[in-house]
Amino acid sequence: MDIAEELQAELEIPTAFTIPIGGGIAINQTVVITWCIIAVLFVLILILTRGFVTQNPGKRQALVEAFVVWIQDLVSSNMNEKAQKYAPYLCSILLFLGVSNIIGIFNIAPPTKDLRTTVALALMSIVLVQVAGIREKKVGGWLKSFAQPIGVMLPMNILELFIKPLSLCMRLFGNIFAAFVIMELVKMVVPVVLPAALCLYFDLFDGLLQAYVFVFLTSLYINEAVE
Amino acid sequence: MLSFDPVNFICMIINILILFFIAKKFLFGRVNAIIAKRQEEINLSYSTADKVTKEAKENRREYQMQIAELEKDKSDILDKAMKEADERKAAIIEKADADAEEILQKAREEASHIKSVAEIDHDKKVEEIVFDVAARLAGQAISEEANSELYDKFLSQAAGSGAGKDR
Repeated sequence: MDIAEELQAELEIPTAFTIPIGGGIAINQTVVITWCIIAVLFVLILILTRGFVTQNPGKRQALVEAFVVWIQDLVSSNMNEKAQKYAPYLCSILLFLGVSNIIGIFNIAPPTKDLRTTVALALMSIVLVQVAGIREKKVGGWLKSFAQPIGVMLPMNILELFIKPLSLCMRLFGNIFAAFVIMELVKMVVPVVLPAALCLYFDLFDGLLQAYVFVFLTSLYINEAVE
Repeated sequence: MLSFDPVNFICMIINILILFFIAKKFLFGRVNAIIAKRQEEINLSYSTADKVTKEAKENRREYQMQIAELEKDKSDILDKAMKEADERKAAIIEKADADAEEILQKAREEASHIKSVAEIDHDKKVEEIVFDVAARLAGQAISEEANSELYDKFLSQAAGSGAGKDR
């Protein structure tokens, strides 16, 4: 098997199991990994947030509170007052993307390597953006916003409706996918030492950076929509 | 990788929604609730502290008013006592003056009485001497010299009794 075939094999998203309904519903590995991530996060959250008190909090509680406040501030600082109510969703997405993107450290394929994940995220983000715009401006105002600042911008603004989620999902997918490809290539060429060093950049730094970029751009779109 | 099937896509959307629900309810919700509760307790502590401070200030003001009233009462009582003392002092002095005047009056009256008694005694003695001299003159013939001698004796007796009266 040459490098191209090996790489092709690594990039395939295998089916984890098939639900025997109708002709069989194939559930792929990404979905299962996402379930695992959700389960691990859920258990961790339950353990870490257990027995919280208002006075004299322990180290665990102080750390969890500091982390939550930090992540909320990180997301909220980019959002105007009207957009603040959407911060919890973006915090959750940041948490999910952060964990998903750095999961490659444990030699697990990151869910964001699968286009379905990034498309789903981008679609949800852009739906949220449009819902925020409709809630703020009502349907009439939202429709009028497509013709702003001048009527000639109408086609561009309609195109933006598709360009924004496309850019969101492709940016995230492209970065994570490219990082995965590079890491696989490096592992094939130099199996020791170098992958460990590059892993710090591609899995940790780039993974967290892309998670933040995704959330940051979504918050900017929400800001624009509610203004 | 680049294939796209709707089932897994929908599964991913459901997964993300589930994660959002879990994170919002069990992580952000719990932590924000505990922070809000703590903030509420802190605000309550501050308001309680403010209330206690206000009460303390009110009590202090009341105590100061009471102290001022007590000071005023003290001053009034002292003024009244001083006034009473002055009145009593004046009354005592007046009574003492009256008593002294009475004693003096009595003393004067007594002295006057003693003087009058002494004058009466003196007059009686002079009378007795005069009678005595007269009896002697009438009882015996005396010479011019003896008469003069008797007269001198009478004068010296009279002078002696007058000096005793003056004393």
